[in-house]
Amino acid sequence: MDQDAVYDAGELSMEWWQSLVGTALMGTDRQTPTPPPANDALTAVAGQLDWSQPESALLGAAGAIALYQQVGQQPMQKELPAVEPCPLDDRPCCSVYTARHVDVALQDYPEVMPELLMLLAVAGQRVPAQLLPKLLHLGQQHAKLRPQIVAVLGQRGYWLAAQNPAWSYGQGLALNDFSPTSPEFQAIWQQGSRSQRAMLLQQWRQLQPDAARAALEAVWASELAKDRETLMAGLATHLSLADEPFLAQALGDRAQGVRKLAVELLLQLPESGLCQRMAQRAQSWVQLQDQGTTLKIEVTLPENCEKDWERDGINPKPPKGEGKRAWWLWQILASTPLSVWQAEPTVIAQAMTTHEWRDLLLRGWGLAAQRQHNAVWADALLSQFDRPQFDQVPFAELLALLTAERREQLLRAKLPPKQAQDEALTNWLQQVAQSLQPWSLVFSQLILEQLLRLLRTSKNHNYTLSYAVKNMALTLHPELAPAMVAAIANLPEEKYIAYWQNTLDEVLRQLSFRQEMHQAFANRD
Amino acid sequence: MTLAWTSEQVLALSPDASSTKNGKALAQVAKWPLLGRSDQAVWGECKGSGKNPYRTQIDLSEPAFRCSCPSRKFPCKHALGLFLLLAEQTDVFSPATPPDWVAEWLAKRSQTATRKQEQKTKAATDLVAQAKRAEKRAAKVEAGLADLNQWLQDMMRQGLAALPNQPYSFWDQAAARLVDAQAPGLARRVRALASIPHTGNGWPERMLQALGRLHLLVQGYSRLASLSPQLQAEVRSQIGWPQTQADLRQRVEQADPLVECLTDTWQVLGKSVTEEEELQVQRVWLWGTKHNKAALVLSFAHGRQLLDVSLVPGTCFRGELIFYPGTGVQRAFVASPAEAVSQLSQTAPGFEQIEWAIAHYAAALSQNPWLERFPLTLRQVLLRYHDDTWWLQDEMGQVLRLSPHFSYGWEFMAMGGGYPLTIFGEWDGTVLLPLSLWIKTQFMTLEN
Repeated sequence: MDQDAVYDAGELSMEWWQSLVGTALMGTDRQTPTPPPANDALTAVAGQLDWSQPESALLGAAGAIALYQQVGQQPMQKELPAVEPCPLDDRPCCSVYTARHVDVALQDYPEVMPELLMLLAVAGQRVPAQLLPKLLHLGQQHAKLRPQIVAVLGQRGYWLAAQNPAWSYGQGLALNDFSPTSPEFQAIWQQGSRSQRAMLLQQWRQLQPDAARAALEAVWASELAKDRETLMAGLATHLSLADEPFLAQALGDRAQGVRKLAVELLLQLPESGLCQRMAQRAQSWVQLQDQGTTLKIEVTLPENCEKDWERDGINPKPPKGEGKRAWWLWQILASTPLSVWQAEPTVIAQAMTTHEWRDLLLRGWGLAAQRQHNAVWADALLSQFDRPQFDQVPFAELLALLTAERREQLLRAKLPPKQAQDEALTNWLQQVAQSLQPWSLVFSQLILEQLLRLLRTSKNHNYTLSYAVKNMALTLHPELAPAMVAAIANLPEEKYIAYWQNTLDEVLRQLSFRQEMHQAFANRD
Repeated sequence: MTLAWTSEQVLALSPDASSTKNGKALAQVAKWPLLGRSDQAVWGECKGSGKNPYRTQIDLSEPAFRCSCPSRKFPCKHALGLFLLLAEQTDVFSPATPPDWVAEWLAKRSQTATRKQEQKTKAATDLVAQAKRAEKRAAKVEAGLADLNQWLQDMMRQGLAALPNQPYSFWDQAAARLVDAQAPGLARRVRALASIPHTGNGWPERMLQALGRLHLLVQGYSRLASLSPQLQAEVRSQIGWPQTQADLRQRVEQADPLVECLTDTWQVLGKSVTEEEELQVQRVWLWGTKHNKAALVLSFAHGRQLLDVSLVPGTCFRGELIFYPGTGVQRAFVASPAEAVSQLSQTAPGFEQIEWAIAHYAAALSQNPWLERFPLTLRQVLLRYHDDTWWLQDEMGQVLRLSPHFSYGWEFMAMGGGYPLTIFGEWDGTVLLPLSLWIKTQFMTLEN
């Protein structure tokens, strides 16, 4: 029974009730129930029971009192903190179709959410109120989606996020009324959760990078390791040489995570001391020699791993099976600014093909290109080499550095000729499948053609490939869906095709869904 | 007469979460190569995993569903998808004459309906057999209640302290004996006692109160003759005395004063489904606008049977209800097919102050001491979340606690935006379970 509720009964009666409960606990065999006092209507009724039959009388009194308490119950008065209702003005809500898509995506196709969130943000729409809890929950679990989610919450979403501490990340600060001196800002910066402060710092970096860094420096000494690491990651926004002194100091931090992050950030600044040091080191082991028509790459392996190399981020211990000297050298290469190498990347890539240390060079320069966002180098390496050689190199990340057009051009050039073996075609498809960037409709059709070509000729089922193809459901152009329906309908009725049926159906399901998603926005216009 | 259905109302028909999920996924035009509608029905062909497409059709007058897919669920995911499409994209359905497979089904349905009606009236007229059965039953019930009485007294003698150590079979066996004694209502109450010793602080008091209430019911039955006719009927129904609809129809025809038959415009306010062992119990709450009378339509589904979905929260209809004899909020059934079904356009009458709502509940309790769930509409209250509990607060600062089984608190909070809401739900004396919500004049009910 609700202990907070107030009962309109005499004190004596309630005391008597407690004694009855006590007797009931012990049992009437051991204790006789006390007869009711005669003070009010309730006890008068109880008095009419036959107390010479203690069991029935006890039950009867209990029944009467239970009913009495239930009927006499008064509502509870409670002090609850007041909540300011949400302002009603809001960005337009998405269509009912899109709302359905968000709902289905949240349950069945969470991988599609980034694309759907982007469509919503571009259209300047928000999700309807009843979907906000599920969406905010998604952001709670997947930190990477938070900025996109915040963009489509609308006023209602910000308001709702403020009601639940688990959704604190969603309390959007509109970038318009963003002033570092305002009390709301300071409140979050000083007392907010880790994720709140991280988002705040990131937004601040976009407006006032130096001021933001200075604020971080000011609180640095008193922050926990995890906080230091999370907040420092925000410096990646508008990173510049002005940040170098702070980052150089962080190279000596107590926490390994912070040290690693400092290295990663400094590596993106070719003029930093770290990169210059690496450049010097690299040039002592690797030299490019122009020999007229060809280029020769001279490589010597370092003898020892120096102490100051470790501080600069070189991992001295190789994994099992790898030689330690090559292990050090490729790391150095990966940390050297690419501007150091005075030759055309395409020529260098050419010279690498027959080199004794080809894999080391590819690994080092590949990672360098990724870290330094160097599209020219990425292009050269991707054009020259194929997936099997890219064993340890970030193939997908390098592809991402190219423009969409160039990516498709490059891959088209790598297309195996008509009479090629299945293996070559499988390799090509796997390379394509690794890219995380969306394909144009024309290129998507090409992919579909090649896939069908493989299915018609290959009698074996390649599980790795079918797994990779499943991921393409997100990168293929949504308008490919009708063509895919037709293609699946016309597949030969062979047994081995059955293995592919599942994969293709799954891809088609996602693709059709994405097509509807996009169409819902097009129709609105 | 066609009625515009909302997505929420359609999804409320879904039998389980998997059907909801799949139904939503099928609400895409691309999945339906053929779609059509007439005044009474809606149909489509959907590509399935087999060679031929599945044929799905819906009779909008009830609604009733049929699909050629092998699923035993009802409505199946295809029917749900088709219905959702109708709710969201009505224009993709072009009016047409129903194809053969639709027309045949509709014709068969009207035939079956008339046949069932005839069967029902036939069963009700065998009076002699009925009287004999009633006698036998009364004897069994009396014996069962004497047994229960002894069991309760033994418990008082031995003391409640021993109860937390009793296994479930202690309660289950007593309940089983009551089922054998044709008193299923009592059996249910006995089974519900089993969990009380394990509810933490204050359990002896709660146990004694529950036993006391049970005792009142047993005593009530033994003194049946001294009670008013309405209360007699209520006691019988609490014990679990069956009443068939055919029975009641007959009593109406004989102008039995205990059995009311009312024609009114009935608002369907909300629906809740609970599971008790193998049995699904569905409660649909109605409100008669002219008579200002609440009605509870109870239906059951055993095992894999399907629940009746003809009453949809958020609609109102003109029709005849026959009430089971009893007191307080009475059970009823829809006597004749509903006419003029339309969407609920205004909020139901309710209480703006929690104090009045509680007083109303107390009044109902005084008429029926065994009332378990009471329908309440609270107008213009604020939804609050505090101390891991949901509350409703009125402008006087008084609060009602919401049930811990209520899982849509944040959705309601989001939809309300901090502004006053009107909520309909079931109050059990301690907590309120919200079933429906009004935002301004828009009605929303919860899907499964």
